[in-house]
Amino acid sequence: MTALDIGPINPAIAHSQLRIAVTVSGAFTLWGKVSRPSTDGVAVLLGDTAGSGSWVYVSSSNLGIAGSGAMGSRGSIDDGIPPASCVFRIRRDVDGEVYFAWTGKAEFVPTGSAPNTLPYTFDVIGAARTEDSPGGLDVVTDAGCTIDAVRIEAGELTPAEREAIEIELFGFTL
Amino acid sequence: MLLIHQSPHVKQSRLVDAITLDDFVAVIHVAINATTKQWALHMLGNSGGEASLVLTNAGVGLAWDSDRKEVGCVAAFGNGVQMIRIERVNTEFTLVTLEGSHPMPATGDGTDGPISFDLIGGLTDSPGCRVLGAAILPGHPAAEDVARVEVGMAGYQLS
Repeated sequence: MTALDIGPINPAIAHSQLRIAVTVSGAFTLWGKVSRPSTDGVAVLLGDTAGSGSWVYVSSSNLGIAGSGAMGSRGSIDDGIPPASCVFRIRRDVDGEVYFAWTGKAEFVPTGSAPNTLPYTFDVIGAARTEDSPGGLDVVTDAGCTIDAVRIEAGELTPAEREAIEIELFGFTL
Repeated sequence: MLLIHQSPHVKQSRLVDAITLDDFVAVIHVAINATTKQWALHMLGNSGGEASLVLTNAGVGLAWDSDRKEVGCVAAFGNGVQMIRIERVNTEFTLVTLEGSHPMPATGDGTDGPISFDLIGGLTDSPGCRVLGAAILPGHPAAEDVARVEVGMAGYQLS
């Protein structure tokens, strides 16, 4: 089931507040398309202002997804960093294991916390609040970096279903 | 020109760079499905609280310079998807709807000075009220350019 599907996003937009927060528990697949002038840029794909600490980002050191407390974080710090402009996929299976892939890099299990199926909540695109309490944004996408598209599918998808979505969104498969 | 199509999933978008205007034409595409008789929708705003363009059930208001300067027009708006246009020439403001043109007289302390926007939509808008798109054309755009934007945005042009 599609939980969120936004794009193409005008590059003149820095960040957008969602009308209704999106929460995904258990298995899900998330795609992001970001453009950065260089791999030094930080692009925050998704975040939450309500204090769950959920956020997804690409930085100069890794692609990462994080939550608060026992959720912990997963990052590609041992597997390299995505290209400056890329499409990436973050997928969690029914057992809570997380898999990353991006343009030109096959799927791998990122470094970080133990598998879990705790919920991520997102209510903002392009920025995040990483503190475990409600409030304003404390991380925003760097100037010059843009979030071009976001898609979240709840539940476990078959490889064929993932490929069909990637062809629809980006015209190629990861 | 700035043209933003806003997903129905999005409540408010903040621009990378604020757009500061003297004379301009703004075309806003909205969807109103209000559940109350009185409703309000912030169409354009400024994160510093310096300006806001608001559509309500009773009309359109534009305030800037931290609310000291303000113009408004009383007009009844009901539910539905609709497009409106705001034009500014010097210190004269006009609201254009499908029903025609309506002057927006001053309701505050003057109508001069630049207006700066960096927000599309509002966080506190009434339920069911959404900004679907906004186009801002600085200066005095040609009528055919405005018409092209309107047709692209909503499929028709205002008079």
